[in-house]
Amino acid sequence: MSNDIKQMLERLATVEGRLTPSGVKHGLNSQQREVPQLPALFKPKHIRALGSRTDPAHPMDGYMVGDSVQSRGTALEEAIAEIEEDMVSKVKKDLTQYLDHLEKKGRVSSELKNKARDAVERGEVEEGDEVEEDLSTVDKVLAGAKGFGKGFAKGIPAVGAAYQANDAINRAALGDTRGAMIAAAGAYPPLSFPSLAVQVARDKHNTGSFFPDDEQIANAAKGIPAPPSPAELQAAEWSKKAGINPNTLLPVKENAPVRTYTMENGTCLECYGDDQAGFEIRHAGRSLPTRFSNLDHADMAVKIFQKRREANQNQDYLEEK
Amino acid sequence: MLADNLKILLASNFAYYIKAHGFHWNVEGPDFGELHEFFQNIYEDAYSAIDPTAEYIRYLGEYAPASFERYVELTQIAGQTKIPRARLMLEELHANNDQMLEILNGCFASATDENEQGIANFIAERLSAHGKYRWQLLSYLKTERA
Repeated sequence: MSNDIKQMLERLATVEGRLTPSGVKHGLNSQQREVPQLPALFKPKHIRALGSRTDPAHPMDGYMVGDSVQSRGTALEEAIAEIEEDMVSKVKKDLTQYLDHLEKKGRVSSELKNKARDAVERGEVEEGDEVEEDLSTVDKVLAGAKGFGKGFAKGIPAVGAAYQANDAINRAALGDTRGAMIAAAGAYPPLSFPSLAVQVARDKHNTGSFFPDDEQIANAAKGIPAPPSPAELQAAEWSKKAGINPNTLLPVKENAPVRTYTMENGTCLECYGDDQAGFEIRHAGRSLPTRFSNLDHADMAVKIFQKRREANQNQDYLEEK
Repeated sequence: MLADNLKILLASNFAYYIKAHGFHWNVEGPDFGELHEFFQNIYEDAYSAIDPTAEYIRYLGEYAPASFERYVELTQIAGQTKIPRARLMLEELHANNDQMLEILNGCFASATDENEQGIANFIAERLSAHGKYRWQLLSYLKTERA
């Protein structure tokens, strides 16, 4: 940079500093006038710009310089606000993980249902035994998660909130205090999630424990409305009111295979599902990963598999002719 | 008795030779070159034993069978009309090789009983050759250390 340009910039800075002192409001729009602003090149003459901000006589106190904002609160309040913000983000992350966990649990529940159904068919377990109760719990958790997700997505928190309340009670009863607390956070539409999260964060900051003890959970559960009975019917009713297809909220009830295929070696493949949810093929109670949009595709896949298997077996001995 | 055993040995050896030669022609897969050569060693060795066996039958005063029909009647080695995978070829040849060892042991016992030391000596050489192929076939089939 040549000296001429440097001198020009210095002169411009001087002029700019003279023209826009802190009191100048002309030439600004209404929004700009509301913000107390110092010139960009403002330099206090008698007080150090850094290291003395607690001085009430600091000329930069309360003014915006550039895009930085001077805090009006004390350092302690600022630190607490930072901690709260940090904890809110952590709670949000926990909730996201919990919802993911519920999604996974929903997938596992179909396997549990299959196992339970097989056990009942074999006569090892009677209908209504503990397995059935577990399944209903899993169904409720799954329905709660789905209801919450769908309700939240549609802007109808009541559907999800009620199911979250149900979930919170179930989890509190099972001793899952962490899950119950998170579920309870979704159970109070009037109490926004961030404010509850801030409260939780404050509790952790004050007590050192992130989640409340059993007594607190029990007290929280008292305030949660009783779960609907049966839950699925209630959810269907709410869904109808909310204009949501109840089939998208409720877990699919699968009783019998739509079609069965017997392989050459005697093993049996079963096709489960419907036109809405799609079809899947199961072997020995295990679902194959591919889902088919209609029954014809599933049928074709099994036939291709049979042919390929047959061809693979014939690979051992080829015809010379 | 020894001549009858030698006729069975001749027909079985012929079937064994044809099978090894067919495997030599039709083997496929990543080990083609190695197995192609290995089967060639086997069929060439088996073929080399056909003529002396027939001549020992003649030496004992019998006529040697020389038709596929008779060989089918006499042989203890089943033919293979299909083309097996390479490993199945090895397994099949290994099983047939064990059958050949049994036949040869029977022939050796007969030759010794009838005091035909020359034939017994020839049979002993064949036992040694098939014993060597047994080891090689088993080594090909072993997968534990592969």
